[in-house]
Amino acid sequence: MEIKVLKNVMQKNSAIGNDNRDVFHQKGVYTINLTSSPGAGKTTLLENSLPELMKSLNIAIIEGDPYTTRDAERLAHLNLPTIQVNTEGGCHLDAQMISQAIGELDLDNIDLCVIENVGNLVCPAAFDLGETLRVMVYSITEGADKPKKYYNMFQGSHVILINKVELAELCNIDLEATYQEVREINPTCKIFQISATRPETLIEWNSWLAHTVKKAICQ
Amino acid sequence: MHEASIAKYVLEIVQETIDSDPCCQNKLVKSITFALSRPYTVYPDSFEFYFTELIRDIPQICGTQLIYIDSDQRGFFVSSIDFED
Repeated sequence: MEIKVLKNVMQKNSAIGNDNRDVFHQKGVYTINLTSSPGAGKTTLLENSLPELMKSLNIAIIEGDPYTTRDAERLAHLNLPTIQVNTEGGCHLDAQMISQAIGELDLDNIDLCVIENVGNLVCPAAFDLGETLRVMVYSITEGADKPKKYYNMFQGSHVILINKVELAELCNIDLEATYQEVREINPTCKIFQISATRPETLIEWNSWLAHTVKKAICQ
Repeated sequence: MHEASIAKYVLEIVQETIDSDPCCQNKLVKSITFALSRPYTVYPDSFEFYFTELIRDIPQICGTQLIYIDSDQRGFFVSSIDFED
């Protein structure tokens, strides 16, 4: 006896992602899904960006990692509510993992939830977590050829932070040409050029994000 | 490695299908057919590794055969489930 099913497996994830989005929206929580390749600077960005954002926003972190708590430990001094999600080797967070993490957060007292995804430029692009914004950190030192190689990630991000720009010249990378290639793939995304280790380069990003979150949660 | 998540979602789809049809509830699952498009975003070998682990202790499903057919439609679909008559 054959039963026709014809179900797209990824729609299971999307459905849970939409449920997560509804929960965040109902609670007035703005959510960013922070993605990048390993070592691109996600945690460094948070180390240097969150202290400024914390002045005006209540923030929580969902910290994705294959096995360790190392990133969460680097952020522990900020004393923010943090939920550790270990994927046991998995290459991405999925919506079900975020759904479980949401249950451990006091959403009534959070304005911004930062989800630091597992470092990977392929799989996280396919898994909607229910975030408001997908923010990608693109380390310029990995090469100017990455945008077209990892098209889905670049194309699906709302914000792209081009990081380590101070090293572009040393790595013989044409920053302007790279910027144009990113823009070609994703004409509408917001792009910032930053050096995550230098807080003075994060002022525009911090200001934009704080303004965007406040505007969204006041609506 | 994303096949671990995919395997979990496939098992949910199979169980939902069983739960939704009283005729299926006491019948062994003989085979599950998947439709997938090239280039593959889900690798059958990897998927089978995780799925086999998930169904190991589920008597109704653990003996199932996994069948893959090429599709023009982009994605990874559970196409059909064949139950013992």
